[in-house]
Amino acid sequence: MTRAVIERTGDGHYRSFFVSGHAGYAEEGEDIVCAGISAIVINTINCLEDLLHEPIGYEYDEESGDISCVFKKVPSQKASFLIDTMIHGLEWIRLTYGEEYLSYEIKEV
Amino acid sequence: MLQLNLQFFAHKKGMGSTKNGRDSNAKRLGAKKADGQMVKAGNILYRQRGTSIHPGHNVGLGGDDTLYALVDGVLKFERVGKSKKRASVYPAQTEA
Repeated sequence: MTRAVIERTGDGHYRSFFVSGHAGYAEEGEDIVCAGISAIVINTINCLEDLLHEPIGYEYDEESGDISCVFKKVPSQKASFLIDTMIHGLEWIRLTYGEEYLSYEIKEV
Repeated sequence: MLQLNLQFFAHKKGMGSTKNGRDSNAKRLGAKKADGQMVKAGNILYRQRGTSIHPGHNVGLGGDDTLYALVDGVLKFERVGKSKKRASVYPAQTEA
């Protein structure tokens, strides 16, 4: 199961997110749930960096399948909206394919 | 910029089980950065199952209990009380 933890501060600003674990829907190359999650999460990071030039730090490990992404400053409104869309996409994958493949948590910090 | 690998979160082939049935590619756990090392926001610091090392100052906790840096700075593994340990990241002192 892939698990996403999205951290949000008390005043409602996103601070970081960490996505880890194999979806386990099918073997590599056929795992469509993993493909959806990968597209949503990776595209979000690329858009933050390429389109919005948001000051972020991130690291990824293909073998263990985890990605961390941290906002170095309070995210802009557009960046926050990008995270909202990421969460929305993850929610619909979870609803459609089930919690055994994807779960996520928005943690107040 | 990240490669858009659509199988990034897929169970990698070749991670089969050994003769004794356990998953052979044990996830490489433990410290990924050393005490006193400069780290960057987002850097993965420590992989673990369960929180033998707790998140301290400026350290986030992933869903699989992985610790990662929330700011650029110096990594410190600290003892808390008798038995607890934590990892903290302290922003480096910028030159005045």
